[in-house]
Amino acid sequence: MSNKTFGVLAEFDTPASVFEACEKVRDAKFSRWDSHTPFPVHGLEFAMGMGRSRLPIFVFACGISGASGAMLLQWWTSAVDYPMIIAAKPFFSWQAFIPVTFEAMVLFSAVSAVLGMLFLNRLPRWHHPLLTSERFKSASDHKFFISIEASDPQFDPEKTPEFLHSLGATYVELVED
Amino acid sequence: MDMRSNVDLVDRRPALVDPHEDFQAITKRVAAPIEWKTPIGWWLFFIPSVLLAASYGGSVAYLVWEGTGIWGINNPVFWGWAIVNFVFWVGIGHAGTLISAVLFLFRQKWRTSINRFSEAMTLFAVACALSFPTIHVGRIWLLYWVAPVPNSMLAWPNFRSPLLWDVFAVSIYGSVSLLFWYVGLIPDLATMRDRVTSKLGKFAYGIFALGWRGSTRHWRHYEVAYMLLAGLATPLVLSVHSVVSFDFAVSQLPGWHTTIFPPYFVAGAIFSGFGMVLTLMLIARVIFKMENIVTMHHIDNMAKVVLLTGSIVGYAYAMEFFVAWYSGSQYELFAFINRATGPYAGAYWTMVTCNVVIPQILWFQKMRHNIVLLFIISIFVNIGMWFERYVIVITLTRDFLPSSWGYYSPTFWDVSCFLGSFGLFFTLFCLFVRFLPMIAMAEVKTVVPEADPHPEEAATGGAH
Amino acid sequence: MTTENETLNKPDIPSRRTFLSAMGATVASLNTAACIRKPYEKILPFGQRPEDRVPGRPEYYATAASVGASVVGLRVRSNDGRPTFIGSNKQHPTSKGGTPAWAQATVLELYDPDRSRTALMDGASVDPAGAAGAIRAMGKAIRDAAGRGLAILTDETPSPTLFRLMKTLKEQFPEAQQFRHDEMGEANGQAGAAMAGIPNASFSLNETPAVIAIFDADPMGTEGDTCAFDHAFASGRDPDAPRKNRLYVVEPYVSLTGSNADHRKAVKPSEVPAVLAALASELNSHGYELPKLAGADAASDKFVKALAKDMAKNQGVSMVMVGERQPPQVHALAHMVNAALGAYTKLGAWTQSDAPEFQTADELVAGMKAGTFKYVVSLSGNPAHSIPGFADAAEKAQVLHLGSYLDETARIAKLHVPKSHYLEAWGDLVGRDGSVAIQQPLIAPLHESKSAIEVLATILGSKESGYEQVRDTHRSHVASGDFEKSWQVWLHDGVVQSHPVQRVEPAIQAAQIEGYPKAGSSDLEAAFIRDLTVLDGRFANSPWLQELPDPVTKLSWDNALLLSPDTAEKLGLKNEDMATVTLNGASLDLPVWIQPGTADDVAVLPLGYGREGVGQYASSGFDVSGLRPVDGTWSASGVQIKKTPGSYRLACQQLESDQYGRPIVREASQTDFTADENFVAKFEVMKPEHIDSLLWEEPVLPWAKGEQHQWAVSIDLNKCSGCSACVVACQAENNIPWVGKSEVLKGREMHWMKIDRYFKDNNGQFEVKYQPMGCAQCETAPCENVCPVGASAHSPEGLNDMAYNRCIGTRYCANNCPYKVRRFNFFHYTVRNDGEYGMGITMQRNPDVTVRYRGVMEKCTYCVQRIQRAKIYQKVNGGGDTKVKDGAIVTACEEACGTGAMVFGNMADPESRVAKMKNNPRNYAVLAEINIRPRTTYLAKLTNPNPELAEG
Repeated sequence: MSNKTFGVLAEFDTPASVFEACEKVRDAKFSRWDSHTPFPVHGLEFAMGMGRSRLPIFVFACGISGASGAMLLQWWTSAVDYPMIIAAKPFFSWQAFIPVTFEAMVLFSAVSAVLGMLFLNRLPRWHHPLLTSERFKSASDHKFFISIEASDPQFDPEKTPEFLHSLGATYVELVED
Repeated sequence: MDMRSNVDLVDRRPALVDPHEDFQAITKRVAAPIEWKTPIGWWLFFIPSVLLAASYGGSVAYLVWEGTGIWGINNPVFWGWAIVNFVFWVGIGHAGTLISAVLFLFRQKWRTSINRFSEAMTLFAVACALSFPTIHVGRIWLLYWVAPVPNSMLAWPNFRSPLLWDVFAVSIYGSVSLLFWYVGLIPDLATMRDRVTSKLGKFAYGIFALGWRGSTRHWRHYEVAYMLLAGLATPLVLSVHSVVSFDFAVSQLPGWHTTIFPPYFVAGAIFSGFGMVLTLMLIARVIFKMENIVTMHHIDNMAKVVLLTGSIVGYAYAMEFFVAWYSGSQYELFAFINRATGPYAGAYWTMVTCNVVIPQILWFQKMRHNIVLLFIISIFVNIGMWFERYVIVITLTRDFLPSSWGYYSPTFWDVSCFLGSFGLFFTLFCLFVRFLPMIAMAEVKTVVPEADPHPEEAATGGAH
Repeated sequence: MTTENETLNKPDIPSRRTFLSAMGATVASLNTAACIRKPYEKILPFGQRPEDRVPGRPEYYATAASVGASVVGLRVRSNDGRPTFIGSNKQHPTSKGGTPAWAQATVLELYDPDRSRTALMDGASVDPAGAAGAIRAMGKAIRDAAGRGLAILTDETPSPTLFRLMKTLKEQFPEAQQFRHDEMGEANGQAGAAMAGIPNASFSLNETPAVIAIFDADPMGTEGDTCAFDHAFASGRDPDAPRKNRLYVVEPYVSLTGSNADHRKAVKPSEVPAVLAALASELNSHGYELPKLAGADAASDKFVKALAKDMAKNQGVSMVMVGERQPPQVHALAHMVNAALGAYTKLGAWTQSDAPEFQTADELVAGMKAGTFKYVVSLSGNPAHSIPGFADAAEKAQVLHLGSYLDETARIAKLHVPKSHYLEAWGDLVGRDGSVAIQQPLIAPLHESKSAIEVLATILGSKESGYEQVRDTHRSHVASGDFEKSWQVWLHDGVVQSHPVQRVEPAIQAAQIEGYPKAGSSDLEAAFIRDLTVLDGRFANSPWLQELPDPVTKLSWDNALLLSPDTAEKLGLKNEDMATVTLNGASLDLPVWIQPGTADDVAVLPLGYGREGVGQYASSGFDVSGLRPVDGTWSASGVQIKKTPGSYRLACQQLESDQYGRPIVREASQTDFTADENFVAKFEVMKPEHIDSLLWEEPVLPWAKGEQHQWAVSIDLNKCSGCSACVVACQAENNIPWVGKSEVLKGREMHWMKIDRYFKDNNGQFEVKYQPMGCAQCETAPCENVCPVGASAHSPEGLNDMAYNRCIGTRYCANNCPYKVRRFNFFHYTVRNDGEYGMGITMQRNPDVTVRYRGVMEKCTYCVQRIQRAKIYQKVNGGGDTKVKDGAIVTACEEACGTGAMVFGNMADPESRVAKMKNNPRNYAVLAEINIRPRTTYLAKLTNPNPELAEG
């Protein structure tokens, strides 16, 4: 074992068990840890002591800028830069500019929602120590995991795995970095 | 307590997924078609589709070389099948996002088994749809002038044109649907990455999985993003077909210039979309042995939606006539009477029969549960909705001045382009079912009983 | 030899080189002061540009063209030496500033690649010198024989020079004989006039009669001075005209005149004489001395009685007209009626023609059969096709054929000489009123061609320059000193002022008429008619005229057997069925077209189509001339029609003839109009005050401020006869391609302007309404709103501008156009035309107008190129005043229209004609109810029915 360890990985069988375990880990005041599930387990983020995501604010801002940007573009192009007499309508006929404005709003928000999510999740990240663990493959299938990183101040190469065993982990392993 | 009861413990409804499916079984089942060695049946679908798609390419090449005159379009019918097909495909492209987004917001758990599938259908339908307005213009090489980019003329697009709204609406609808679909795919791509053995497969799935590892810290943002996308896609899906309907409604031609078009088009779109989903799903679930995941419960629900939207469309047809009469405009009234009794009455009554009459069968559960019948009905719905758009476009033959009235008949090239687009559609579909999980595993897993972290509460009926 | 032949380069086809040198010749012959040719004819390099000539600035030359004895004065535009547009000469008395459709199309005929290019001796081409030599040799040979064995055949082209040379010929070759034959001529009319005691004279109508009774004639379409008649007729339709007119028509088929009638009576051709006879005897009861012919009373009916009464009431200002399709006796009776009514003293004048005596075509054929003639010189037409028996008889003689095409006659001719187009050769034309116009060429001959004058001069061994011959003719009647001056004035004006006119007072007295035709047979009759677009077929090779829809049937690219609905039903025929028509032995299969208004039991057979071996377009349609009786009469009884299997698609350009009760063409009778001046308002679908509710606040646009020019057009439906000259003029001016039959069948014709025509059953009486329809430049244009790239937008002057190079071809604008007057290039029609027509069409094209690319939308913009040219001219010469004067801009359609039905102008100027017309109570906008605010508005049509006949 020349390499330094990344952390410890514990496997659980059911959502229920990992849910309880997470609550315990949270109460044990661990900070640099995470849980891994094949699907979003209802309420698990709260069990891990996390608040709501702040993504919506960012998306809202982008949506607004998209809408106003589109309206500005239409106003400038058809009323300022190159006004043309079209069907005796006003150069700035805002009624007709609503659809494009709306669509632009949706586009900007949608793109920002996805990019925002990836940014907050620090994705894409094609390599991660956990992905080297054979057992961990089932994290995307039917098993549930808790990982506590070695960089956590409370981490202890001996105690932490035992602690996880005590939470009902069916299997615990040290993952190398 | 028995986790495998036939009742979904979460919402006390009949189980959405066969109770004998656990997480692993679901994964296996969904991944199976990808892991099989390519079945002959797939080739039997794929090869003809590719050939058909190639013929589309050929037709388009000839079209661009020779000019739009190879079609049947003329004066007064300047828009022919190209636009009919465009609206037809866009319509089909609505069910996917609707199922994914609207049903998601309404917490309709039954969507989980079919949303991936129908989203894919949406994307491919929109791809076909976009191809038609693109090739129908007279000078395709200057098409970029519709984009708000500076060009040699220093002029800008005319943002008052419904056609321009279309460009934005449909292309944005396409891209947002793609995002929505891809975001939903990420966890399942990770699953595939972890399952496949081939180096190439690992690499490919790995790249697109973006290094997903099911972290709850990720799920937290992921779920919000997905919810937001759903929230955005819902008004979008409604706006897109409204905008498409503006192409007709914002013009001032009798039979086109009617305010009922937006809602009527949206209903029609959902109608046709569900029709197409049924058509494809009924085949796929058999071929890929998905009966346990796509249960009669899903089929039944979709059939109900078809019945509902079909009836809305029928109402719209009736209301059009009423308004035409009530408007007191002789042109308007003539246009509608002419639809039903004029030279193209055949198309009109085909439309009414397929869209309004036939779906009424679905009032009876027996019929809704008869797979074969349902399949036939879904085909009729597709035909009927194509004819609906044909009837609208053909209204051009008789507008204000009788001196300019004419007739329209399609040519070989109209037909080849239309059939070719089906080639494109099915080619993409074959690739999809072969290489991507056609059912959202991660989502389906959330609706099986085991997914509930608080089984005992559920068992005692406690809310969570 | 004069210098002329040196100037004639030797063109294989009209190549670029030909064109340039041809242009050089024209340049050389330009006078610097006015648009007059200089007497010398040498080629000058373009480098030595005559002063005052600006490349790119068009020049205009006065000239004249003729069909039969009808002369049309023209003002032809030349761009850098290329004739490109046939304008009208307002000063010309027998065309009154109008141009028929055929005249408009002659500019394309000039460049027709199918024209014969070199002389042919026994089928082998010979150079011009060789050909001229042969003719001279022939002339010499005949001279020795005092002209024995020489037959000269010509048509009715009324050329004083030609007449002079003919007379000279008669003097020098006393034995030579002269014949005349013209499918567009008026042999029957002249024979009839002779019977009535006015031989070799012609009548010209100067003012409108109050009552016009037409008997199987088409003075608006294919007979006589159509423009002059239209002009006179239109002048009597205006509600405030000093003399209003009423038009009665008795005819077997729907002629253009008949379609404009107030009262129309459809009878079989053989019954027409009886109706006229009945009229004559009716007039007796009104105190006129007229022959009572047998069986007259039988034909007398309500119509005839009312007509007679009306004519008597309008003593002196009412007249009857009989058409060429009727035998001479009927013409004679008509002259008597007119004389009795005093029409000839008030309404017009008779002019003695100085044409020599001619013999008829059948005398020629007889002579040829008898072997009397060694040489037959055919100076015009295609006798081998148009004169029955000529071809067979020709074996006995050597035929010298002067013609534009390698037609039947050319093929049997010993020597064929290409005939110069009237835009290539000098000539002169005398109108029915005796006025003479100089036919001035605009371009040196494109091919090795000669004019009739030149050939005749060559035979005579006289000066072979047409130019000199024409000058000699007219030198006589001016004092020698001022000849050059007056010559230049004539060329400039296009009319020879000082030409002596010999009026005659017709001495007509009512007498019995020998062999007046008896009332008709009971069986099916055939009526051979001149086609309204290609006439007798002389213009059949013009793609423009082939594509131009017949004003009445709207058929293009074909003729068809026209039947009345009842007759068709009786024969079990419907549109586009094939039928076998059998008439005295000959039979022909041709498609059927049902034309309401046609007399029952009449088979109408338009001539001029299906001409094989003439050109690439002439062959379309069916050649009915084979069915025609050998004596060349225009109608015959004993026709058999049988349905034959199969059908044939006819390219009809208007599929609907009913207005479906929509207020499109609004009309009222003169009396109703005087009762209610604002009757047009009654038709409004929506009250104006209900229309102007808009989604948005209306912007203050230039026209709202009354700034700048505001272009508009007003069309008086009263004055439009439907002749369609404007359609061809528009095509010539705006480089509009023809698309061919297959595309017309698809509904893709490109005419920017079309003449909509609607049928109406006015309690039993068949009526036709015409409505010129082009882009109306709507102020709230629906087309502009929907264009995604803004290719269609408004100019501050109120034009609906179409930026061709911006158009990407979504075709949404055309869908949204309520008038459907936008035209789309579904294929690259321009290039297709180039492929068919070669350099020719490119030489005709107007350099001021872009040719449109495939995939581009196009439409009328009120000849914006003419507007801009006029604005520039005004800016340069207006001395600070940039307002273009009213009438300074004339659109192509307006220029072609002799009746002034179309008026273009600046409606912001209250003094302009168009502004005044828009204040006319009859003014209305089609589809005003959808708030498109068209700039083109119409003046409602006023009919003038006879109260006694009005109520059916």
